[in-house]
Amino acid sequence: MMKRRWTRHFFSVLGLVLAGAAIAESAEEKGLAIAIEADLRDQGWIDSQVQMEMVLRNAKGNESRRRVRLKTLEVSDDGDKSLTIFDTPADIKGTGLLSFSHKQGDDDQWLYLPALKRVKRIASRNKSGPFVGSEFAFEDLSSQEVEKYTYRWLRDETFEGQATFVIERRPVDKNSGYTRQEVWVDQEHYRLLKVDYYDRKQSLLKTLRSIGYTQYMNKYWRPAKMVMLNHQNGKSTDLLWNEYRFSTGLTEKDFTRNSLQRAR
Amino acid sequence: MRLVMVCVAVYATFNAPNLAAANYWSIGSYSDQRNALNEAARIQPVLSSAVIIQPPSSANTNYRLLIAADDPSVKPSLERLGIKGVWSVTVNGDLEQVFRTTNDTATGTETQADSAVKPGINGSTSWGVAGSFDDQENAVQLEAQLADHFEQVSVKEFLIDGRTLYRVLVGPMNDPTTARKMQLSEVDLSALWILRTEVQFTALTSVHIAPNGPNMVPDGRNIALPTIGDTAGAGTRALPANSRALPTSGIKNDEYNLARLAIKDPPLITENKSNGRWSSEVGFESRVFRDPGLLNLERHHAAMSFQAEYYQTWNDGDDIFAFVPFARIDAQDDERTHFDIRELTWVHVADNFELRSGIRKVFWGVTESRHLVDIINQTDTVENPDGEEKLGQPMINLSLLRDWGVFDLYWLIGFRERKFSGPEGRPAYPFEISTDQSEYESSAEARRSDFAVRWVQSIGELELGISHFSGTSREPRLVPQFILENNLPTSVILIPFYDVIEQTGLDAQFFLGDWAFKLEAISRSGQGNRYAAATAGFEKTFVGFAGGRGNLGVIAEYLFDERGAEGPAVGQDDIALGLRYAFNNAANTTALLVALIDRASHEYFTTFEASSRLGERLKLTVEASAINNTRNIPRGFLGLLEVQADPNADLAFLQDEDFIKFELIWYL
Repeated sequence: MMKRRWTRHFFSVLGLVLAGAAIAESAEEKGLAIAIEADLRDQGWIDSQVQMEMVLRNAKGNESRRRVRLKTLEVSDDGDKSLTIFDTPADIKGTGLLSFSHKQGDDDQWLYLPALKRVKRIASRNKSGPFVGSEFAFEDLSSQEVEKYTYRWLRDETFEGQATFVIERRPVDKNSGYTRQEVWVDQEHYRLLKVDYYDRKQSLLKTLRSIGYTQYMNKYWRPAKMVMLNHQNGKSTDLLWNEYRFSTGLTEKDFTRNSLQRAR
Repeated sequence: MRLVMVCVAVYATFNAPNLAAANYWSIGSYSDQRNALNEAARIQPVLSSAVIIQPPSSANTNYRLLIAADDPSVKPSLERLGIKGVWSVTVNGDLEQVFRTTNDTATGTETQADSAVKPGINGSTSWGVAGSFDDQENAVQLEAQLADHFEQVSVKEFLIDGRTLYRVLVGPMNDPTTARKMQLSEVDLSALWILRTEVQFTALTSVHIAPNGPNMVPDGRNIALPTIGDTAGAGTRALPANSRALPTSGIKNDEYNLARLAIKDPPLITENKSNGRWSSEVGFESRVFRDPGLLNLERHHAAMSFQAEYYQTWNDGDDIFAFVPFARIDAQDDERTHFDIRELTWVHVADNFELRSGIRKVFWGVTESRHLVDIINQTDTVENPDGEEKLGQPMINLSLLRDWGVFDLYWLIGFRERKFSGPEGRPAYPFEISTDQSEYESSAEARRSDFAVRWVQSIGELELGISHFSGTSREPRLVPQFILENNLPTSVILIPFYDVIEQTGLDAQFFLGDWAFKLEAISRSGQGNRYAAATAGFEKTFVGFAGGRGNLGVIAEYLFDERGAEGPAVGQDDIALGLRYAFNNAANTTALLVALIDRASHEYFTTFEASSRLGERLKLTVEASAINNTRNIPRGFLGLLEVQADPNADLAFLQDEDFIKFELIWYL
C-alpha cells in the first residue's frame, strides 16, 4: 500500500518535472509540487505516540491547561487514524477521541465519556469548531492530506533567516472555516513554519507558528511548540509537544471502539 | 517504580543538609575532583543507585565515591565494571564524620586511581542505548550487528525495578563526533536514545548522581523497547531486519541532530509499564424543592459524595485493573446514604479479544430522552432519578474483535435490586415502596445468573447495534398490596416484583452531514404480553451558531410504548424536544434543555442540565426538573385509585417534586 502511494506520487512528481521541462511551471503546479514534496518527506513513520500540553490563554492572559496523549497510525491510502486521551483537567480525565480522518469528505469521530461509559459517535462536519475550547479548530489538528486543499505558489521569501516558499492553499471542503491559508514552508526541509488563516469573510483570523523543529528517525521533523494566535479575539493556544516516539508498533487494533474505551 | 523512588529519595536527601546514618560502599577515592567526577560519570549509567561524591573533610582528605550499601545489586554491577576493591563505610548524619571504616581491604585504590587527571569528560558522559532486552542473547545479537559500525559497543546489565535488562550501549560519547557518526550511520538507529550522566559539583557539597535524577540532564528519545525490545517474560525474539537505508534528506543539519540529544529523557519508568495511580473527587450537593409535597417533607436537601479511582496497567497496557468505590451521604434520606463499588475490574487485552471480569458498568444506546436498550446495569435511582447513574454489575464479559464488528458476550453474575428513596427522601412517592418484600419470578431470586450478547459495528455513516438480554428485569413491576382494616382497604404499599424477561434490542445512528438520526427499539417478553417500545428521532447540529464559537444542537425524538396506558408513566406516546448548547470555551460550559410532552395526558416534563468547569479542579453542575399541567391527587389509597382511574395523570405522583440541584465537584 505504501508502495502504491509512493508510486502514484512518483509519477505525479515525475509528470510535473517533465511538464516543467517542457513548459514553464505554473504557480498552481509549483504549489502542488511543494505540497507533495512535503507530504513525501513525511511518509513512512508508521505510527507515533506523543504527549501534548495545551495552554489556552485568553486576551487578559489567564491560562488554562490540559494534557493529552496522542497516538497516531499512518494510513497510506487515506487520512491517518488517531486516538487522543485527556489526562487533565480532572473533570475530563479519561475522555477519549477516536478519529479516522479521510482525504475526502467528513472524518469519522467517536467520543468516549468515561463517567457514562458511553461511546458516542459525533457528527464530524464540525471541522471549524474549536477543539476543547482552544484556538485550534478540529481541521487544524486533523491529518494534513495533500488532497484536502488546492495550491498556488505565491513567492519565495526569506523568513527568519530561512529560505521559504510561500504558498496559498484553499480548502476543498465547503464546511471548512477558512477561505484560504498562506503557508510558509522552508526550502531545505519542507517544514511548515507559519500559517495565516483567513476566515469566510476573507479577513485574517489566526496565525500559527511552529517552533523548535527537531528531527526524528533521521527523517521526520516535528515542532516542539505550536502557537496559534487568534487576531480577532486576542486569545491564543500553545501546543507543547513532548516525548515523540515513532514506529512504536501500534496497529489498527489500537484504534478501535474497544481501545477507545479502555484508554484512561 | 523503585527507580523513581530512588530518584525521589536522592532528591530529598540532596536538599537535606545531612544524610542519615547509613552504610555505603566506597568505590574510589581521589585527590583530584575531576577524576572523581569522571569516574562517577563512567559508572553511573550501569547502576540503579545513586553515586554520591563525598567531598574532603577532616576525616578524609580525598573525594570519595559512595553508593548506598542497601542495594544488593550494586556489588555485582561494580564487579562487572572491573571495580573489585570496594569497602564499607558508615556515615553518621553529616557526611564529614566518617567514624568507622571496615573491610578496608582495598585502601590501595585511595591513591592509586589518582596519578593523573584523565582527559576531558567535563562532568558529562553519554551512551547511546540502541536497545533494551530481557534476553541477553538478543542484546548480544544487536551488539554484533552494531559492532560493524561502531568502535565502542557493549552490552551492560541493568537492574531496573527488579527486572534485569540488557542494554546495548554505544559509546561513551565524550565528543560530538561520535554522536554525529551515529546519526550518519547506515544502521537504522531510529530507536536509539541517549543515556547521559552529568555531574554538577561545587566544593564542600555532597553531590548525588542518580540515573535520570535531578542532578542530571538526561536526554534522548525513542526508548528502544517498543520497536526491538522484549516485553516482560517474552522469550528470545528474532530481531527485525535492521538495515534500513538512511534517508538522503534531512541530515545536513548536525546541530539539530545534536540538539535533540539535549532534550529531556523519557522517564525510565517507561521501560516498565507498572503505573498504579489513584485519583478521587468529592461532590457537594444541594437540592431545593419547590413544595413540601404530599408528605410535607423538607424543601432543602444537602448531600455529599465521594468517588475514588485506582487504575493500573501492566504488560504494556494489555492488562488493566480499575477500582472505583463510590459513597453518598445524604442529610435527609437514609436510603440515599449508600455505598457502591462502581467498578472493580480486571481487563485482559489480547489480539482478537478482550476479557473483562469483575464489577463493571456498560452503556448501550444512542437516544437522548430515554435509554431503552441499555439494560446491563441496575439504575441507581436514589442517586439520580434521571436514570443515568448506574450500580456496578458483577460480570464476565468476553469481547471479540472481528472484521465484521465487535461481538460481546456477557455472563452477569447475580442481580442488584433497584433502590427507591426513603420516607424522608425525595422525589417522594405517594405510596410506600417496600423493597424489603421484593419478589422474584426466579427461584434463585437475586442470585440468578443472567446472560446478554451484543454486536456493534460501524458501517460508513451508520452505527448499528443489536443485543439480546435474558434474565431478571432491571425494572420491577410495582404490585399494589392493600392494607386491610376490618376487611376494608385503608392504605396501600407497592411491592417490587422482578420478572424474568427476554429483551431484544436494536440501536442505530445514521449521520448525514450535520444531522444524526437515532433509533432505539426493543421487544420484551416476560412482563405480561410481549410488547415493543421505541425511541426515534434526530439531532441537528449548528456549528458556530449565530457566528459564535458554540455549537447548538436541536433534538427531537418520539417515544412509543405498545402497552399504552398500562406501560410506564413516561414514553407511551410522547414527544421530546431539546436544545443543547456547547459553548466551546475554556471552561467547557454546556447546557441541555429537554421537554417531554405526553401526547395523551398533555403533561409536560421539563429537565435542564448545565455544567461548567471552575478553574482546574472544580466543576459546577446545575440540574432542574419541573412537571406541569398534571392533576393533583391525594396521597395513599384514594390517590392510587384516582391515578389508576385517570389515564391522563401519568406524572401526577411527581406533581410536587419540582427541584433544582446544584453540585460542586472538587477533583482532589
